[in-house]
Amino acid sequence: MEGLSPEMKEEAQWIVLMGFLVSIGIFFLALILSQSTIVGQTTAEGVLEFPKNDLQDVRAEILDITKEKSMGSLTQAQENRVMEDIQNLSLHRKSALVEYLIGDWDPGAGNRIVRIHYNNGVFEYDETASVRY
Amino acid sequence: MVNSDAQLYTMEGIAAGVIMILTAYLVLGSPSVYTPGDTHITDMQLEQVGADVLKIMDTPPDLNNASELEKIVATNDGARFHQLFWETYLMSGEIAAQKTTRTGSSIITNATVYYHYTDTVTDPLNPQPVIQGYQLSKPLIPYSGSEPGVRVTRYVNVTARNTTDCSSCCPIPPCDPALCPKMPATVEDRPQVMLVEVFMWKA
Repeated sequence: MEGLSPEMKEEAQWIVLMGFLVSIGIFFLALILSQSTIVGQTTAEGVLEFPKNDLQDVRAEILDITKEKSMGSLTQAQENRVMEDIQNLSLHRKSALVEYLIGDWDPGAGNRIVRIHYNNGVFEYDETASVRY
Repeated sequence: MVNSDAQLYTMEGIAAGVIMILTAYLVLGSPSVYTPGDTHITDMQLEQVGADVLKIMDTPPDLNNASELEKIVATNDGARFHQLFWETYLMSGEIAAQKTTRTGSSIITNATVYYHYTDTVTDPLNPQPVIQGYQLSKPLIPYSGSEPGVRVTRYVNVTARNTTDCSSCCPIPPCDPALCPKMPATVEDRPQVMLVEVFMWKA
């Protein structure tokens, strides 16, 4: 360093400083890149884990039973057995707790209250539906 | 003797220190297993397609008719299930025509129907609810276990246990009921809900 002029020494300091800054920038870019590899995985896993289709299916089935009940094609005993079907199948095959209550027809309001409860340990869903049949 | 050399040495020392810390950070953080981000995306898409196909099959043409899936379960018609689920909906006709000759790169499905009944035979004093399943549709090739599979399900209304309707399995009368695939004997003869479970995997 003894042979260098003061101007060159200052220039070298700037070069080293800039190289240092650029290396830090590259490090952070690498950090972001490494994080991005797990983004697609967690998104897909989130979609796989969320029981969207199960919820829609159970809900449609319960409203279907409500319709059959209001049409008089199910006796009370048959309706109770169908509820046991749904509860047992959900519990054993889908590991989900399903409960529902089909209310009586309210002639004044012209509707019927249906309460649906779904819980698979991760997601819980409750609905109080007003059904016009 | 104070001169500008010390500044350069200090800066070099700081840079070296930072580089050492970063190296230690990367080395200590590296023993995590990275799976490629798109591993589960195809599974997610396959599950969504399968659920959509079951939903289409369980949609009745109008309010007075049963859905195709309900008819299939009621008559235990595995051939019709495979034809609709696999050929008509999962793959278009053209693709299916090619895939039947190239089963090595196809999607294989196995359908099982689960039902609930009360077991009064084993312990008549203490009847227990039982979940029982039977195979509705067989896979074209057996499951190898090397490919990840997805499972889609659908609840289906069944009005009664089928005993006489053989129109789908033997279209030419007179029909021999003994030849028809019937539901297992433990299926109760009453309106009930069954669970159609389809397991799909790439083979």
